[in-house]
Amino acid sequence: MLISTDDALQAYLKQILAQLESWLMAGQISKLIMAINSKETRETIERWQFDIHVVDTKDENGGGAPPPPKSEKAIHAEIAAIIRQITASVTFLPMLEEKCTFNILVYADNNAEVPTTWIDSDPHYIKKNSEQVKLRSFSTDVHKVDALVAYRLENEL
Amino acid sequence: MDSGQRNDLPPSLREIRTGFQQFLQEPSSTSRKRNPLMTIERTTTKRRMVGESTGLSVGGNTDPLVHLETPVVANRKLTRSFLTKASPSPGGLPALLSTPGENTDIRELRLQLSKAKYEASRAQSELEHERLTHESERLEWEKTLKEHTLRLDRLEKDRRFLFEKEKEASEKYFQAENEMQTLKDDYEKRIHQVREQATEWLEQYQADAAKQDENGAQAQIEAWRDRVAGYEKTVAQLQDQLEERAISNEETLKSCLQAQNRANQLEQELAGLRAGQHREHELGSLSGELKHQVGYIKTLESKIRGLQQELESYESRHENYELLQEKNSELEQRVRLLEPLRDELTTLETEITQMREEKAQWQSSLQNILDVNKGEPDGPQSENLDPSTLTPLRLTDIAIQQRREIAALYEQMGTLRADASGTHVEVRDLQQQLSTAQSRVTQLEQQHSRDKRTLQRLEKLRVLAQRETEFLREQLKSYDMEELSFADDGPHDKVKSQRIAELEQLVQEYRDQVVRLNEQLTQRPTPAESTGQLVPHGVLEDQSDANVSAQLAQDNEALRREQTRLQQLLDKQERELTLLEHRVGLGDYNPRTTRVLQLAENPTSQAYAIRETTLQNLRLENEQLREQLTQSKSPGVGESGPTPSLPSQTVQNLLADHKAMQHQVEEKEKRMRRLKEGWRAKAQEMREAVYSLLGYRVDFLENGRVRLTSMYSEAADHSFIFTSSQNDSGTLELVGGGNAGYVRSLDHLIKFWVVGRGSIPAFLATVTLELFDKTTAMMPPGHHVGWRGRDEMSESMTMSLATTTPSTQEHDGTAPNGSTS
Repeated sequence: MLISTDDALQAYLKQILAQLESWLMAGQISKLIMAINSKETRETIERWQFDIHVVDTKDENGGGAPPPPKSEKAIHAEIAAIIRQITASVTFLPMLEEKCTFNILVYADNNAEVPTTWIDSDPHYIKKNSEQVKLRSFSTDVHKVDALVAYRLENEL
Repeated sequence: MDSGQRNDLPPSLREIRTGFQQFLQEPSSTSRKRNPLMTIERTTTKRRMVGESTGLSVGGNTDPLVHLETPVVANRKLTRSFLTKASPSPGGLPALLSTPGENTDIRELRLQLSKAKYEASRAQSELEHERLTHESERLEWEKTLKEHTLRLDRLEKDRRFLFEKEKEASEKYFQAENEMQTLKDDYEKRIHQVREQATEWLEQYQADAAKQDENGAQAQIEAWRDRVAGYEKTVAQLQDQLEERAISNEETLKSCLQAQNRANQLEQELAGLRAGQHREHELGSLSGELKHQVGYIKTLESKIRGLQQELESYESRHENYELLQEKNSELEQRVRLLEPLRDELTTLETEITQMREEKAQWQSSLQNILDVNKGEPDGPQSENLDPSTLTPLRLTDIAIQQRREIAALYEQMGTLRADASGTHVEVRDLQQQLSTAQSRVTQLEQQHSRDKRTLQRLEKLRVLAQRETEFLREQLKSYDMEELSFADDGPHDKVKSQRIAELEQLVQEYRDQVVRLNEQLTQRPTPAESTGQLVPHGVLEDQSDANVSAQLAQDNEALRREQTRLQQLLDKQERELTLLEHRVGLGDYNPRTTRVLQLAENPTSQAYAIRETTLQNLRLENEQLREQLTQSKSPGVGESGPTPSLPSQTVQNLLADHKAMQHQVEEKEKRMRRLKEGWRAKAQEMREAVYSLLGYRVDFLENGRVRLTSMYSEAADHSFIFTSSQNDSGTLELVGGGNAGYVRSLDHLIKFWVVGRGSIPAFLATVTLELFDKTTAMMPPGHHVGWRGRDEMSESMTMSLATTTPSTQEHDGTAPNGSTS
């Protein structure tokens, strides 16, 4: 696995993750998206979408005993499986031949608390010729994450 | 008392013996030893006196002559002559001896005189010595005599004591004899009595008692015998004591005789000594004393004789005593014989009483038994039992008989028990069989009831069938009636008969079917219960079934329609779902509930911002250029002059570009500097490593030349210069040295290694070794050269580095500059 050594990137990610944590704990987040955009055309080429279903612990209507807590090992195994899939997705994803940047988007509740450093954004749709592949999902005691990658096909049409 | 006497006697005798021995030995050994000492003491006192009178210190001189010097002849001449003899050194007193040749005769005479005097004095001293020895001998004699008298007194005392003891013993003995006599009489009397009694008892005893008692008596008799043996022992001890006393008496006699003998010997010796003595007055006194002593000895002898007589009388008494002892022993033996008998008697008496008591008990018990038996006249032995005739033997017989009977009864009981157990087992088997049989019966009953039920059902069925047949027959009859009524119709007949036949066949079939159904029922009894009730309603059911089926069909149709509708709905839904999923995958969202957020400072926006600024700048530039174009196109202005051809925006853009480039250059320079520093450090390390490992300091010179200076070089300019070969591939050639003379001196090595073998490393190694030998030849062996060399090396290294660094910097600095330019 590759880990970035760019300080700026790490700072950026750290900022995002700190905010994410607070949103996650409040259960005000539904999606986390990493969009890869073309630098030239500003088009979104790849869109990694992680649907987050926060398990509502307060919901008692479901009845029945909550499922036994997952062992950390099992969770790690699921995450490892997803990462494996993501790295393997290189085989079917189209090559990124142009210079790209990336952006991270968060689908938050309307009533979520938003710090001033965060601003509204467009959802970075893949405008045309999109294809999507559902990836594995993993779940912890707190939330369930479904992974999905959408990408722009080559200019075949 | 006897033992004490015995212990007392031998020491006294020993003392006497030792005294005599001393008496005999002392004159020969001890007295002679002592006398010379005395003389020496005397002479030493004299000598001291001489020393004091003459005033000359003799000191530690132990010459024998000094001892023989007498105070009478202590004149000057003699002392002088003595001194000359005493100190033979020539430097002693040379002034006193004036003329040696003249005085030789006088000296000889003097010597003779001195010799004569010495002899005279020696004779005198010998005489004195003898006198002294005699005196001492006399004193010794007196001492011994005194001791002897003392010992005699002691002996007399002992004898007296012994005599008294003997007297006491004899008295005791007499008393004992008397007692014995009286005891004997008593015992004899008692023995007579006892014997009589014993004979009586024995008779009685033999009549009644068993043999066991005799053993006890024998044991007692043995005990008596033991006691007698004890008495015998005491008698033997007494005899021993008597003998010992006799022996001791004899010993005293012997000692007396010995003493006499010694006295005689002493007398003889004294007589001998008297003959040997010369001096009259001393001898006279000595002889007087001796006579006195002889007289005393004689008195002692007479006393000893008296003692001997006494001893003889004792011996005679002793004989009497022995006779008495023998008698005593005989009497004791008799007593010993009597005592066991007495003991036996007492035991027999007790046993007889026991026997009698036992007999009385037996009789009483028998009487009791008889009384009991009389109460029950049926007793099997009642007629035989009489109190008079009943004896233990008879009783035991009866008991044995009864035991046998009991045993027989037991046997009978055992056999009966065995039989009973056998019957028990059988009963159990039978019970088990019974239980199994009962269970079977119940099973059979159940089966029977089931059969009954089925039978009843069948019966009902049969009744139903019969009714049906009857009904059919009636129908037939009605048909017959009809037939009769329509008898005229000919063709109808055949048809009807045919129909009847068909119907009959049908009925037959029906019956067969009924039978078959019955069989089936019997075959399947359990489901018959459920089907039994349905069978009668079979006809009705058929009708309802049709209705139901029709209804069901309708329902089925409705359901199928519903299903198809639902299927269509599902398909639609699924399509919708996929669509929606796709949309979700695209990232669609409900803007009412959710909002999409991004960090303001995200890479995309940053990139875009840069792009935006550049774009704006370019746009501005473009506009300005366009303006310029229009201006240039308009006549007058374009030709008027070379007004600033460049718009301000382009200048600004270029400036921005310039700044960016400068920044880039700065960064690159920084990187280059860092790399240089790294390289320098590495190069230094390398040089150091080469120097410490291979012993050559490597200096890179310009034009790609390399200078090697050995670690052990004698002079600073003793170095080799190499130059890289044409293609700069690292191979080097030896070009020369820092000092031409030095290189020439190594010509043979260069020829051998470089030219001949083509190996520069080998050449360098040999040079290193040679230099090492040269530099360390002056060193003391054992001094660690390597370390010294290293220390020097490090110093020289730093020096060389300090000197070479500018050049290397230059060398390094040129390359990047060249590349950049």
